[in-house]
Amino acid sequence: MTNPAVDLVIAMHRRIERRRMVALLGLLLLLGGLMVLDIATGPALLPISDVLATLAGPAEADMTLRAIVWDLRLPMALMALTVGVALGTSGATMQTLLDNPLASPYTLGLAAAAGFGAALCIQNGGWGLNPSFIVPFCAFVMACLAAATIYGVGNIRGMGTDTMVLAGIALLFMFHSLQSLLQFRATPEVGQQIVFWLFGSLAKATWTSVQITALACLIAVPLLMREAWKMTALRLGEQRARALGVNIVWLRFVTIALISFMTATAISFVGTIGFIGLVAPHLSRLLVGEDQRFLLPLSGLVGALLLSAASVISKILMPGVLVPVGIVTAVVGVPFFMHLILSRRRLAL
Amino acid sequence: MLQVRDLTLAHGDLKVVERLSLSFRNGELTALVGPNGAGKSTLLRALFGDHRASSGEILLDGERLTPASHRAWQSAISYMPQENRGRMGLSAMETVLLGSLGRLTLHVPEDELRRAAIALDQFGLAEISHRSLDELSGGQKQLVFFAQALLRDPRVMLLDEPVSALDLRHQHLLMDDVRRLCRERSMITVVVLHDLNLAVRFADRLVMLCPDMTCVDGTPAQVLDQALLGRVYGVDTRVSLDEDGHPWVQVRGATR
Amino acid sequence: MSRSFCRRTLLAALTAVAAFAAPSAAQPTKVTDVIGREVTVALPAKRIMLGFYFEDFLAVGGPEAMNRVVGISKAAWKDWRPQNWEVHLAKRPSLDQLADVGEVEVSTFSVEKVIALKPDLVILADWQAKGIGADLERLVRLGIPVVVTDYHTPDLAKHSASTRLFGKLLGTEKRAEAIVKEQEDTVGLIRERVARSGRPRPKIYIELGNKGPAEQGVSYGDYMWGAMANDAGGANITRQVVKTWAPVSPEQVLAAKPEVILIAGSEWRKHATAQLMGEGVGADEARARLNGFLKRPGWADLPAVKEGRVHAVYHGASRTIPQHAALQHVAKILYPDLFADLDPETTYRNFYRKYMPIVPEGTFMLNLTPGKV
Repeated sequence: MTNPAVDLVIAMHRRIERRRMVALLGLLLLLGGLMVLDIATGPALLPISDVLATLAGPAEADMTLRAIVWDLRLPMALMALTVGVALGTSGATMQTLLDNPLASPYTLGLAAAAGFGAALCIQNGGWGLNPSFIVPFCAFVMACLAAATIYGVGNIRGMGTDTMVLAGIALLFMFHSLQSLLQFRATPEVGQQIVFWLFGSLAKATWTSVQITALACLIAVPLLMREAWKMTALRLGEQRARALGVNIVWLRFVTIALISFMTATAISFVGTIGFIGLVAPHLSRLLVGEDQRFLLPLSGLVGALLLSAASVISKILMPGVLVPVGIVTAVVGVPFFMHLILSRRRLAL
Repeated sequence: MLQVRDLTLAHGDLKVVERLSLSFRNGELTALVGPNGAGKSTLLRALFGDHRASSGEILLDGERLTPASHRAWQSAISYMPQENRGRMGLSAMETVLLGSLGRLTLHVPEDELRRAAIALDQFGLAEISHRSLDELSGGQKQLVFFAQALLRDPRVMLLDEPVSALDLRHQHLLMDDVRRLCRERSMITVVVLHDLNLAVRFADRLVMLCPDMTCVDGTPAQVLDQALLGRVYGVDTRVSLDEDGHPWVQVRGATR
Repeated sequence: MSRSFCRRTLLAALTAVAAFAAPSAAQPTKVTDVIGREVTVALPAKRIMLGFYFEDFLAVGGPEAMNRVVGISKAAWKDWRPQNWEVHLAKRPSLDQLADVGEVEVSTFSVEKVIALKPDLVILADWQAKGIGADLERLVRLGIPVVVTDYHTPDLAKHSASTRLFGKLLGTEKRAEAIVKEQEDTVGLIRERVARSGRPRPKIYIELGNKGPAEQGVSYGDYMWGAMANDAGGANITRQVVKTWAPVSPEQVLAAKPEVILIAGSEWRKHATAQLMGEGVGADEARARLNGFLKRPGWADLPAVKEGRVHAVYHGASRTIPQHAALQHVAKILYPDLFADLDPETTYRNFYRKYMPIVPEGTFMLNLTPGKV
């Protein structure tokens, strides 16, 4: 027996889902365009026609052009993409998990830990090993350690999200202090390298680091999507989520593990690029609300967009100079975020 | 039948319920009453399987609640907590859909959508299905949660103070729906209520948890006694019968 | 004359002319840089990216070598030694036209820019090579020869190696050898005299005077001025507590009771009380700044101050080839009677006169009391 009211509800729901998919696809296209722009800009100030020609036909291109476009710019642009996805998706997950709009992938002290790990490694000259491998590795290990500590603390006596956030802040301060101690005792060259690492920059991206980061995202994001409905349930509160059959302990473990893995991998190569993980989810929420099936991937997309845009800005801000992208995200991110908070519009698709 | 045998519940070292034995039957609506701190919410949570009993056991249709059977146990029960949250951000439709959580995939199957839409329509919420929960009134919100709870097709419904924050009209609307569905689906239903008159009006049976860890169990007429109320609630009451012969409680003041 | 003789002579003459007229083909040459890397460079290099040690490059290669430079790390010259830059720029205005590849320490160094220059030789300082990390291998992988030099190290053998390396790369090996010899002779003389004297090492306190008397500037371990003081037979009081360079606490200075004090200065005119030394700096103003340091709490009682053995030196005279002149100054302030015959400022100026396109005008070595050391 057909009930027109019921049919209407269903039709509305499907329409909303379709609109959200369109938003996703639209942003994907935008990302494509932005990436081309990202590849076209850089300190060498190459004409865009040359860049496009080199992209289309690398074999025929001039050796220098090929080196710049394929070995330097393309990895950087792809890194902006993968790191943006990693930070955006992790940020959305963290905000849902901790029920806190100010949460970011760094809230649990991951970034501070990674910074300390990198600083420790740089301070010891990488123990003789190849720095482009050992520094990210140390950063990664330390970030995972921090995540494990938070998780452990959060479950010792079933403490709530607030306590986890506080524990994360405590870890953050601890690692910052340790890192400051290292910097204080370091020689100036080492100190400068540490500071550079902390800035956050895409400039050191290589095909290898891009592939590793992309792999981390390809593993973590689908696994996070599997928990999307459970995280949507979490929006109703822990008690109601539990009442719906969500195993909060397990969900916390899985999601923290996945985002730690993904975030730690990303920032171990590019340093602590801030604000992407905080702002991307908020922008996405304006478009698709709290349905995590949409919010998670869209946050990743928006993260990639923001970081690519920041990368472009970092290159055109001072012609011929490459400003570390972490500075751009911080300086541009803050006023942008303020605007966001103050305008509070809801596009509600 | 849901049975509680010799159940002791504690918060750390503090006992709230001691050696409680109760039975709840299909299609029966039990109102769980008592002053704050008597252990009503704790009991409800224990019945749901969310609070470990210090001793005693709980059985559903003869099967004991154990750590091993925990998941199966909870899938047969819908528990509506008292939780009051800030911004939730989900629409009514999305919320009700979550009732089918175990069966939802990235693309929602058509029949799940239909079930949720029907549930919303049955409570007259079809028009607001895509409004955000945060924009709905307290009464509408509770109806949404109730619809969500029903979507799970539970054997047992546990509702913790579902009407405490609602206006008069919605209190009655919701309790009416609760009782109706309790009968229709032959669910075991336990509702924590503060309003004794509401309990009388809608419940088949009253279980009163007393601060001295005893409990009084029976029909409203059996349980509502002036002296008992004075002891348990610390209020001076007058219990009389209305035109239909139902007891109603008039609170005259707090005893000092 | 016989026809065959004419023919042979003509042939010989033509060959000789051809040998001079034909452009020298780029010969791949293997060099070993100062950190032990084996690099193959096509010499003579025509497009050089010079990261640092600009004056040393000029000293060894001569002005012609600079014609072959297409890009530099501009900030490392223009911002760090502005007066020096101005003087060189006046002599060679095309310096400003050189491409700027960015500066390593402030993370603006761009590998992309280096590549875009299509260099056939990249010369970096050791600290730059370390600073760019993995990017060094990137350049190498793209077929760009990268050679690392080092004048920062206290190891003088590496200084000589760097000079010889420049010589080989720029085809001025004889000139390089002459420079190395002058340096090694100077250093050798100082070391030998100190050793022969058998005297106890005087305690010396060295500080970079860029923060003025109010704030503690950095002191040195076995590095830069500290290493030089060590070489010249001094006992650097901050040697044990500082690894390369870092500020020490004022108490330590007072407790150590140094017999000689050396403040390194530069053309820091923006700072009101920093130690001024270098290009365009007058002896009077330098002395006035130096006097400011004496007013530090407790300094009046230090042996160095009581004896008037407070001196200044140009910070730009270290980590560079003519630093042997600075070494003479350090030796002289440590053992005035032993090295009375040395004239460090003249050594410094003479080196410039002989090997550089410019001659510096200013104060490069200073004693608190004029005439007295």
